[in-house]
Amino acid sequence: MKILGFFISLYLLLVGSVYAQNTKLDSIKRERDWRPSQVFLSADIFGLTRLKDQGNLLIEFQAKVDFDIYFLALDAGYMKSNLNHELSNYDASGFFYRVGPQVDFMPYNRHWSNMYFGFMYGWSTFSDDITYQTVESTWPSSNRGISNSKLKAQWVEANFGLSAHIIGPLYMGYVLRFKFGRKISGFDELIPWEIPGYGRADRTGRFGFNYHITYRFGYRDKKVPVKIE
Amino acid sequence: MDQKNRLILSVLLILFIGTPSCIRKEPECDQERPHNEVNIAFYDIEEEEEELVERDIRFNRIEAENTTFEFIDDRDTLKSEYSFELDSRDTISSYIFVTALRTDTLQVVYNRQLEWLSEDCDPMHRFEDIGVHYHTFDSISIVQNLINVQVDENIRIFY
Repeated sequence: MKILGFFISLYLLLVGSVYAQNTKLDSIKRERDWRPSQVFLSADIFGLTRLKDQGNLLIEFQAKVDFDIYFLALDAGYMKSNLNHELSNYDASGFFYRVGPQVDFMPYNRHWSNMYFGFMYGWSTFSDDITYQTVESTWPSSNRGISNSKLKAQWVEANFGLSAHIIGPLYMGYVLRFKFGRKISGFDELIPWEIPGYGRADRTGRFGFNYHITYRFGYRDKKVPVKIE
Repeated sequence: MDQKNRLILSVLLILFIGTPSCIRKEPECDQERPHNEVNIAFYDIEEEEEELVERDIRFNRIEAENTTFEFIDDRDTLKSEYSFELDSRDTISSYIFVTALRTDTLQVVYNRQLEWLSEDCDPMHRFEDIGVHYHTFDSISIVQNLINVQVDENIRIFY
């Protein structure tokens, strides 16, 4: 809860800063422009580091569209994970999605680089299974298999990110996420190890990180607000 | 402090102050193994209505049903409290109590979940909500349905 409190404090601090900034912009009668003008399509490359472990994969994409100094972002991804131990072999796979608003703290950047803070609602549908060997002193050893075929999870995220213009329509940047309020359903005996898009299922709060390569589709000219120093 | 510095400070706070508080120490596999035994105590049935009096009983044998495992194979064992391992393969464990005069059966029922302690450990079963499924004793009561190391007594058998 301390971390959530920190994010709320950060959000209030940043919103306060933007409010002050917009007050300055409004003083020269900045016109709101709610009509979308560009779409940012991003691919995460940080998740590819999971390829170093056999049977693991994490791919993730994001699309976001602008409304004045705000964005509406939609994430979609796929995760496959494997844990192999001496007595057990566990597999999980499934899709995840996130949607939520973001506020841009650099709307005056003429290259449309952006620094943003937002909240997202995330959900996932996935399945997992395990084969394992029981080892007890009283009872005979046996090999068992358990599976959960229709797992569902949902959570909330606070995220902070930076996307910097590189060249032409290309951008690069990172996203820091704090995920909390997760709920899981659809399991019985086997507790899932990992939720796609969230992380370890037994943790009530998780940090996440993405590194994005972004392509910008601008389909109309949009006036860049003037920054008042 | 101007706006730019505040933003930089905020990012640094996320990276260097927020992160460590979210990191937990990973448990050691064997030391963190969930408790997996049911604790049973025998009481004198003659005193059941008046006052609880533990009763030492000499069993010839106590065994796990359908196994060759014997909890007691010493006919001189005389005690009133026993702990038996639960069977993670099923939600029912059966125990056979044999004396010179009679043979009794106790079947306990429970919920179990296969949970993860760490990425480095095999998953382990946690047991809970223990109850009596079937028995041939004269009288039995559930004292505590939790299975953990702090519980001394789950089931009382009046004998």
